[in-house]
Amino acid sequence: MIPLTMVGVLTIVFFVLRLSGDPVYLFTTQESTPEEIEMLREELGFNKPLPIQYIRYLRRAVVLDFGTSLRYGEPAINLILARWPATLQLAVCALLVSIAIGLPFGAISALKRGTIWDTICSTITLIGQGAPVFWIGIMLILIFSVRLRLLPATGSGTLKHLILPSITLGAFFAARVARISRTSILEVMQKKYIVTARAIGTKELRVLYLHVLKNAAIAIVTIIGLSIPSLIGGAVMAESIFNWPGVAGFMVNAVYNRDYPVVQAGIFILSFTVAVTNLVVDVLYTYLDPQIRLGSQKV
Amino acid sequence: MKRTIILLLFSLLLIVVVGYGSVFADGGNKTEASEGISQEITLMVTNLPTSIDPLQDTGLSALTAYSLLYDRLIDIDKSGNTIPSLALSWKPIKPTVWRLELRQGVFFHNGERFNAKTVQSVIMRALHGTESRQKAQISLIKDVQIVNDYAIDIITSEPWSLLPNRLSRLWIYPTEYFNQVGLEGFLKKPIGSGSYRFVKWQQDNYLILEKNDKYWREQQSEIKKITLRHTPDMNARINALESGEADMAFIIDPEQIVRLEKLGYKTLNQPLGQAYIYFFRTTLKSPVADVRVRRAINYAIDVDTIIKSLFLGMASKLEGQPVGSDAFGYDSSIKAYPYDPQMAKKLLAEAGYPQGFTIAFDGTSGMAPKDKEVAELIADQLAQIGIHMQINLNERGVYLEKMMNAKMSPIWSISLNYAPTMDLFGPMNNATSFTGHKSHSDPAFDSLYLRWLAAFDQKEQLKIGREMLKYYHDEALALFLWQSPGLYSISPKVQGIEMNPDYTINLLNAVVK
Repeated sequence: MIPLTMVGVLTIVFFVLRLSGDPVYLFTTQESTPEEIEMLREELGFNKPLPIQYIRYLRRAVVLDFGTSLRYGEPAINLILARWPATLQLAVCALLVSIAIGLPFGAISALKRGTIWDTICSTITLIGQGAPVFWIGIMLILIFSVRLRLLPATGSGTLKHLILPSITLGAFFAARVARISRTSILEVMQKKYIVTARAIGTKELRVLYLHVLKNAAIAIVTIIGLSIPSLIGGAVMAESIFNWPGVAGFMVNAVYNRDYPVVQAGIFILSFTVAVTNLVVDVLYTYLDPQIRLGSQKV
Repeated sequence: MKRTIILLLFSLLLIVVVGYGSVFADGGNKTEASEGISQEITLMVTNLPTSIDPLQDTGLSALTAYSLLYDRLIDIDKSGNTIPSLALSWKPIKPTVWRLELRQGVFFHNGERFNAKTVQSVIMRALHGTESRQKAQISLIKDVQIVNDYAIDIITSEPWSLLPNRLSRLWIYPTEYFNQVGLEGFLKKPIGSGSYRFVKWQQDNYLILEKNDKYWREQQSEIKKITLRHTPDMNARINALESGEADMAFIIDPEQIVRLEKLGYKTLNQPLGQAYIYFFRTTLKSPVADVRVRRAINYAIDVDTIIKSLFLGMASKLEGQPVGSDAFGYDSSIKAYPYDPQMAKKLLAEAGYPQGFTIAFDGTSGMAPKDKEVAELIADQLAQIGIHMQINLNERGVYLEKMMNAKMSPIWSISLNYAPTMDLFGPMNNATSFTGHKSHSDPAFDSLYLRWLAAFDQKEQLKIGREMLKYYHDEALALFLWQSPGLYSISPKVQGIEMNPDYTINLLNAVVK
């Protein structure tokens, strides 16, 4: 399925980008003559008919050649791959933050259902879910960078630089993880095998770890898996606020500049990551629930 | 097995989290890097060059970095005059030949000597190199001949009086070194002759430079190390300044400037070499084809009030011409149309529009400072004399496509660039029939323009230039507004930084206190 998905994505990106207009004009000056514009069009390869451009594009994409960036004059795939680790680093850290915050909050909320702890955790979760990423980012910068001068507001390179962007991006997903964890744990706790385990005198901690959390994990892993594309999407905002040198902000600028090769290479890499992530999540299911077998229904 | 899988996954995450730290270490973390070094500054720039090869980025925002690392043959002063840099003098010896005498005793950062051969190779690559984006700017150059080690003749395909100004776009690098290491090697370690030499850079992230102690100019900067950080988002630039990570933030909104001033930050207000005007398409059948209507619009707009309300007084008004006083050829005798709504109504009535009319406008949102708000205010002021301007805001690509294909509405906005050459070429060329947008077409003006291009005598060039500016003003070819604001916020501990209208930077008097 992954190769088919990739061809579909590449095709959509190719045609949608062309709908946005002629990129040649972005490389002209106010004084450019029609002859100069035509020369530039030929130089950039946009003078050929669209179907020919499309076939050439697909043929090159097979070997990861998306052409040369119109703006930077360098192979587009190299530009994307150079920035990809920074985005991946941010997304993974944000994911870890969201799990580290969301999972305990969800568990506490479920296990202490109806108590003050449940209310506190649910309220914090609600704030996390409701507050926009940019607002959280700005608030963190104001407190920790501008006022306290403890952490850098922009840039990258050290673990200190990672803290604020990761929390900003992770906060929203932490709320999502907490909500799903709570619901899922509550659902599992109603199951008869939990009642049985308790009835035969199994210790509460053992019930929680061995039976509740493991069975609730499928829903949690699913939501984490599904969050990865959103995390990368959310990175656009975080990268912009914290001036993080990743691929998300870079691609937004490429769209703005109609730098087709860069957009195509970027979307290819992002789609591939999402497809692979989904595959990993599917594989994880089999580990979490032995009843699930890849390629068949539950037996 | 389960433990192995978990361990593997955990290790993978750990590698991702910490593993790339070194790859993206920007060295620009001031708090860590600056310990013990006093003369070090960090500048939050809007954009770094897309390439460190000076022939590949022709954008204005690239010039801050280029002006530190490289020198050009000819510099431009703040009044738009050409002044010597690596070229000591220049004169036309024939209508199509310019002779340049070059400076002796200049060495690049790697010790390579600057000479006539260097200039010849740079110009030839700028003209014919596959990566060069300078071709259109110097396309009239046919050949470069070496007269001796420190003199060259530049041969043009037709008489070209503006060559010295055009050469201000060309930054010089050591060509022997370039030929030796190739483009790839040069991009890894660029060499110039500028006041600062290359230390490290990462595209769209940072550029670190250190002082060139052997710089050829007598006056030297106190600043030992500079970090330029690519920060397209204004708020991120401000945050870095306020958190102490940076010493200067480029291009800040007036409202933020006021706030930062209250916190003790200094402001540098250096308008850019860009005239923000609303062009009238006199070539279309519309009310603005009539000069009386165009003048009426100029009388109807209270530019001072707009500058005061939207830019808090921090923009430089255009005096009835499409350049500021920083351009060579600026005419101080031409004055802006005064705000006079009664005169505007009178002119409209004379033109046959006593009740006004409805007219379309093509503008942008986010391409020029407060362009959307400006359009709304202008529409509001025009409504007061009966002109109903229908605002159409375009995405950047669509706007450029319309402009180059002569599809703009009768009124359209433009930031008319005259930097870095700081001459009348751009604004005048845009009023001829030779442009793609075809806003104005008058054979008399075209011929004046061609005479101006061919005028080698500076007095004659100034005289024709003034005639053209007077025509621009009297014919009211545009609604003249202001120069694009260039507002910079600087930490109180840094003094003496100067910016130029073309984004080049001067640190010769800069010092960290």
